[in-house]
Amino acid sequence: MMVLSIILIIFSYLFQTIFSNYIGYTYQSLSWLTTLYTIISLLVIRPYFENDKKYLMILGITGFVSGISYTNAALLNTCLFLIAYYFSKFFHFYFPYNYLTINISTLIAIFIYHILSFLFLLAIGYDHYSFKMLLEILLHSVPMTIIYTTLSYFVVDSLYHKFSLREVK
Amino acid sequence: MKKRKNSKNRRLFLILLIVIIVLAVLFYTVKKDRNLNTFESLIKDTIVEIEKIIYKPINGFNNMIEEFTSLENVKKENQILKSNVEKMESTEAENIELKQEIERLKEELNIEHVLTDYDYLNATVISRNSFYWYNMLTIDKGSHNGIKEGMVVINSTGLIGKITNVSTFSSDVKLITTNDTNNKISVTVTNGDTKLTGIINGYDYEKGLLTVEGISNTATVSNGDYVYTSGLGGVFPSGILIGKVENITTDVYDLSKIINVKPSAKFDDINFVTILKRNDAS
Repeated sequence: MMVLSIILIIFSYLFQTIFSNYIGYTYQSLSWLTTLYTIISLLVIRPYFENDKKYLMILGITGFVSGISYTNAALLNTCLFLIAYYFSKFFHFYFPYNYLTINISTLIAIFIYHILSFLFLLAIGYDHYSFKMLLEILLHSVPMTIIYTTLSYFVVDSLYHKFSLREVK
Repeated sequence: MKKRKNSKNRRLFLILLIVIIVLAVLFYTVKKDRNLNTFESLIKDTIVEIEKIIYKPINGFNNMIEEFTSLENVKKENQILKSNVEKMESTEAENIELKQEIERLKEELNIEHVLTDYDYLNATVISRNSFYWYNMLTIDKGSHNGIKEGMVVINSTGLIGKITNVSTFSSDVKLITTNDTNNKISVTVTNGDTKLTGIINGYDYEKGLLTVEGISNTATVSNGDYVYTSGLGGVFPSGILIGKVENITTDVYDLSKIINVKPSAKFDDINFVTILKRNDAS
């Protein structure tokens, strides 16, 4: 399961990077196809990890690498990834993993990420955008989050059952 | 009782101290113009190199489609090129004279750099900031190719932005649409006869327009006038097209104009850019 998880994360990361060149990812042209694919992949693989430490290590590395790649602030980005994950973990403390709840938790995580980064950028006064813009970013990320979460959850779950993969211990 | 209270206070103080330290570290990491350290630079370059390999077939396919669609115009373009070649000799002589004139005008107008002082370096856009943190692009050229922080980035349609972070094999480009206090650009609004100097003071994300301020209300500006970099300030050379005047309003005191400019570059569709490198002769 570990290998499959890593493949999904790398694929999602590259997909997000390449996709950003063909659709509107700048403030000028928000597209309905934009979302944070890397965060989605991290949350989709979560139920297959029994070992919390290994999962947090993968989450930390992904947050750090994408932080360097996109924001030049790896540490802060890793913290935001962790906070977003803990919100989703809190949600799954009450609701079991299924197609509906995993969609809700990825939406929560992505919203939390955008809201916190917005507040942080606002606090340091660096290229902040308006609150209305934040709402637009959140709204535009909804359709693709639902589609990508459902698809990747379906693929991972199918492969997990088909090849009788073992959970990460 | 007093002992327990003291221990509680000490714990609270410790937590507060940790929170302050963590916040300070986080603020430092997002500090403006912070350069990546060697480790961060190495990771970023590795990622960019991997992305470049993946991009190659995708870009190749895109180019193939573009070439195929442009085949129709080849005959017409060939005729134009033939006539252009014939004119070359006279243009060259004209260029020498114009260069001398530019030098004279630079001295008179106190302009530090013009476009002829620069070499051009082409680069491919590797990714955009899909986390929406900054209005930024990552390109596939870095310090290895002679890129330095603050260099100007343009494309065939006009000014794009300037280089902010440089690692060995990649760099970040901060777009001119960034609402940042460090991102003010001196511009010239011209209709051919008159030239007025103002400053780009922001970008309206919703309307997609740049705001130029600092031009007196008595000056004449019309919709459709061209906006170029003025060369004042020393960062951007003069004569780079920024856009066209879309509409004009006045400030609250009715003293100066607020000019909204439609940028000539399409910021959501940038795949190739050109970096202006100061040539050694200048």
